[in-house]
Amino acid sequence: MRYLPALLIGRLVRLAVRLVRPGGGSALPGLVVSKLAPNLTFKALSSFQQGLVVITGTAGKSTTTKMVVAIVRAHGVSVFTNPSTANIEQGFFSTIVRHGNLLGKVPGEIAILEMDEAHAAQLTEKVSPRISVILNVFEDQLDRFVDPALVRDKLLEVAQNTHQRVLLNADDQNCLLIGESIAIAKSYFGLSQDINSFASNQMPYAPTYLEHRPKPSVSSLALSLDGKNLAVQLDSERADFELPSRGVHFALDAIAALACAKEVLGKDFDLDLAARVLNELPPVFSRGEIREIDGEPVEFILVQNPVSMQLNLDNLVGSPEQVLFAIGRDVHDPSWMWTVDLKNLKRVSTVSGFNYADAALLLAYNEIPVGSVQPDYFQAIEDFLALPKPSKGMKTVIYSADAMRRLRRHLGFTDPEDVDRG
Amino acid sequence: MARALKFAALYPDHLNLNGDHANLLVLQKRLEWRGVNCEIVSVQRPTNLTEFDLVLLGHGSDSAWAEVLKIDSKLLNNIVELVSSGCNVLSVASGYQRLYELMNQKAALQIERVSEFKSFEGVVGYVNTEFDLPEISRVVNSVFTLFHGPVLAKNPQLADEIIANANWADVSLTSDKFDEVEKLAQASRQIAFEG
Repeated sequence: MRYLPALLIGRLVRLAVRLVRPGGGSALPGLVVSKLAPNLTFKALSSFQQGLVVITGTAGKSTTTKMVVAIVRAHGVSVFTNPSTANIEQGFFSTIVRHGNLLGKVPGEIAILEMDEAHAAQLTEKVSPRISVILNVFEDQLDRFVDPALVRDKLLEVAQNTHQRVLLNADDQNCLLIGESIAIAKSYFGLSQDINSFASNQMPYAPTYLEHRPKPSVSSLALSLDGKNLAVQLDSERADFELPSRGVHFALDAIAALACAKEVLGKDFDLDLAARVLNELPPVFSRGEIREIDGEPVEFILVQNPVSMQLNLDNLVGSPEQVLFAIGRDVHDPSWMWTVDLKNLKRVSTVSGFNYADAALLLAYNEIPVGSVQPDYFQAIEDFLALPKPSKGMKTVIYSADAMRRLRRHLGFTDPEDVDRG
Repeated sequence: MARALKFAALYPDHLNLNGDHANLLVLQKRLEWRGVNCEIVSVQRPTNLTEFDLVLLGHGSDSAWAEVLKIDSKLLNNIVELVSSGCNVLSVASGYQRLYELMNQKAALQIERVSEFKSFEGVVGYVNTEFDLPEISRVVNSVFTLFHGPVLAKNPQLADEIIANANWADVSLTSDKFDEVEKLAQASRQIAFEG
């Protein structure tokens, strides 16, 4: 009963926000409740019969989490999870306000959550995860983390706070250093030599500048990748399926998700069923999402850091004729954009977003032709969508998380789960 | 035909954490738009830095610096000599701090970390530092800046100051391209304080 007043207020705030901005504003109710009942998250996350699973690391958290949740649900287990990008403390509070009852009890046998690296370290100190998946360390958010080694330290804390097993990326030297420093059970997932050799430079893990660690034995391996078709091996079993989106990083997400689901489900894990689930899973929104707008397909690509921007540009099909490039308020210091190789971006139709000026400067000094620079983002969206259909390929929106949220709200895409498989 | 200018980007895999090396791209384009050719060379283990018209020493993590100095223990001393002899060096963030400490034979004063946009004598940029140093220092013909990343894109006046001081081009030459990037840079400086 002690959380009842805070949760009532949280629900009222949520109702008010949704009346003003349909489909938007998920952070405010969480912020309010976090002030009124700061221990609510720990209480709620400690209450799951099958415990808590944490998926963290710089990149791939949303896609991996969505994959694990879908596989575990397909095995008949009810899962509590957080929506993509609600992966910091306020997001957990908001998710609990939305899905919990007025006593703070959240439905589900198990919680499978994606967590921001720093928040994961903080939260797992209070609630020990049963399983943690540590995907990678890239050079990201350096205005916040300063040095990738500090991110590695945060992830080490998450690993140390875990009580059943830690699953680590065998191809990332940072994960190997974490593995060396923990006493509890650990397993490795990774990409085969074949995939790594054609994908060299596609997964630029943050260098450790320490002695190179040899690749450990890998129990969950992505064997081969042909377009979107991925073959995997988990211990002695093999399976093939089609990934929701193209790109080596999605292969890594899938093998991590399979390793995690197998650890969650134990002897009940059915690889064929898991492969069927992944074969039909739609992408997480804006990770290669294709959506029809006014009868025309438009591709949406989210770029959140230098690595995701580089990977997504490297994986562009051909060279899109029409691109909306929008960098929003979430990019606090846009310096990192200048570390990305823009060779695949041949032209941009419209530049916009809160950081439109920095985005346009980047394109100007890289001598990439730009149709128009439009500081008014909603006008930019309208202008871009009104352009004649490209002669080949489709309109492509490349944007940061804030620009994504604003665009989705503007176009009335209110349900984050409502994403078609492209 | 005049020879192309040559700029050295030192240890791009280690000392370009925030896009500091993009400052060379900004200088290169502003020179090319004025008809001066310029080549950017990635340099590791340099044997003779005096062959370059400008040397950029960027920012890296502590572990990146440890490896650079293991590979090349005389690097910082060699750059201090370049600065003293009047060569053009642009040093950024931890590159600046390390040169400052060597030139002054004392550690820079440590403070609580500052991570924000700041303005210094009209130059705007992002600082993320634990050291109490002026955001911009000019030493002989060199420029040291705490502003990390592509500070010259945001502040074309500083880029043109470097070009004019080195006598590489007539900076009074402008065109629509310069007007376009000037307008964007002005907006970028303003937006920095609205975020």
